[in-house]
Amino acid sequence: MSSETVFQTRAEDSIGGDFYAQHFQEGCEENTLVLNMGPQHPSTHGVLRVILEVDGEYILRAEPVLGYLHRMHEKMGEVKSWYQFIPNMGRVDYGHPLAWNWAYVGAVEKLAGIEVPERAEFIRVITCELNRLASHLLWWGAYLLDLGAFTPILYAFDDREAILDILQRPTGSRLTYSSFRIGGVQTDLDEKTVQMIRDFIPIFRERLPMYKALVTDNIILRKRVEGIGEMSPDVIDRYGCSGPVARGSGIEYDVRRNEPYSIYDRFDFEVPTEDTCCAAGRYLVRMEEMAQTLRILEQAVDGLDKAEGGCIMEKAPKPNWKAPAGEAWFAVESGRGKVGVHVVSDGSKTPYRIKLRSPSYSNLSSFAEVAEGVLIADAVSILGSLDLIIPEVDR
Amino acid sequence: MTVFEHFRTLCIAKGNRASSGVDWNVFLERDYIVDAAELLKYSGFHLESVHAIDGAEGMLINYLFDHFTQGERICLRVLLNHEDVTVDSIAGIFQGAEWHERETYDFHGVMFTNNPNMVNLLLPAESEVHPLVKAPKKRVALAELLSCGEIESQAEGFDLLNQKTEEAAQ
Repeated sequence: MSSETVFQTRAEDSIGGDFYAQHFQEGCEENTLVLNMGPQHPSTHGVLRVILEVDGEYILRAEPVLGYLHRMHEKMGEVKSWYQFIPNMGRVDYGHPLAWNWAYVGAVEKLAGIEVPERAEFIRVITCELNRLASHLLWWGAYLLDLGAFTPILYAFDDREAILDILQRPTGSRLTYSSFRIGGVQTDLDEKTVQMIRDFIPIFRERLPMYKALVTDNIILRKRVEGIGEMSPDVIDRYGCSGPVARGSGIEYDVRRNEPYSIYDRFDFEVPTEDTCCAAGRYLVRMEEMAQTLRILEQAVDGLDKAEGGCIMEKAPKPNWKAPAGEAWFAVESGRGKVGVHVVSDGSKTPYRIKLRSPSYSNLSSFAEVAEGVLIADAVSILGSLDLIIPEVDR
Repeated sequence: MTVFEHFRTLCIAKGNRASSGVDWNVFLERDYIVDAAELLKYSGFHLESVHAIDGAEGMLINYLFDHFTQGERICLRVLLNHEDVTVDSIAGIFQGAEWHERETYDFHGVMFTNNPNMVNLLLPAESEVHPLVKAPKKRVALAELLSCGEIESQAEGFDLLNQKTEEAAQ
């Protein structure tokens, strides 16, 4: 198949739309309607576009069209130095940027065989877990907004605000964190920050039952999520889904537990799973994960005082540092699933190749199969239950 | 390596998860990738990523697989000649590979035959630019780039990794 035949535009055809719409319509049945959902649809959270073939209210076929927020981070990685690439990692996923920070610096540390001080590991765990809470709260508020409930996002942002106030002290930013460094983190946690976290944990723990009473047990929500978007474990395997999407289908897999990195093997926490395989399962997994994250946070804050070393290793790599030749693959658990970074080095100041494996990308790729035969309104529910962050899908 | 015991491979190398993150590196001939993927599917593996590395000897396609319970990461590797960067698609077995393969076409210009929807995914539809293809002068020998670990078995005539092992021995 040559590229010419693939990309031939068919201007003479009467069917409308751009290249993707025309390409999609080649497989349409008779008397069906082709509908573009996005790229400006509010429930696609940014600029995701899904082309749907619908028969009445039912979806016959769906095809996500990506690339509206594509920034080619992997190319930027090949022209920047090892150090300069860190800010990019704060911008791949605005929901949980510290996980991406960690995946990248972790891969480089693995490549170079760098040992991170114990205190830096604790700071990484604390900031990353706080960020996970903020990410889940953002998803929770936005998902319910998609489903037509306006109030929850106000509660979610109230709590999220408290987390951002804490995180801005050690990281210096409120959204696009890039505070991890090769060999540690940029700034130590001061006493006031630690106190703020200690104060925050019981307050947030009390909020969780209220969220359950207000939303989770609400019959209107349950009718929208229960039995919607069924994903069997086989679908998870075939599409490589991970994170809460896999755990919502009964697969007990969490990178923090199954492939422990950093100091996660020291903490006592559970990996929540649900066997329902539907949007409700994925919802419940995330809600329970927030409670488990609080447990990790508590233990990490208690362990911080006894941790040895500083917030960054001595003689940490400078901006013109050269990584040794070789390759390394490093995976971490973000709010959405397994983030993987593959770094390849030829021993120079810039990476030879950086591959970013994003969890939203694999999770979204299953959408076409999962959405087949469902109502349009349920497609919104399925998309929301996947917890998509579009810059992470497009990279 | 029990999964590929009776399979025709070019080279099997035992990696180290602590230093490179991959447990097994398996080099395959181009025509065997679909069978290998099928084997992994029935052994319960799931697909993590498909991506290419542009090296001096050719375009190296990496297929990363992981297992939810066994915790074993396998990297299947297929080396393609720069003159003919075409390989069979594994999207029939792992449907998630469809997007990964389309992305690899976008970035590296690798054509995957039998991919059900071989159009640009992340780059504009008409784009003919493959941004991650390196200029021939800038390509580096794969033996220098890869850390495959200890070679367990090797087919005759396969010498892609030998330079590296000699260096390590010295």
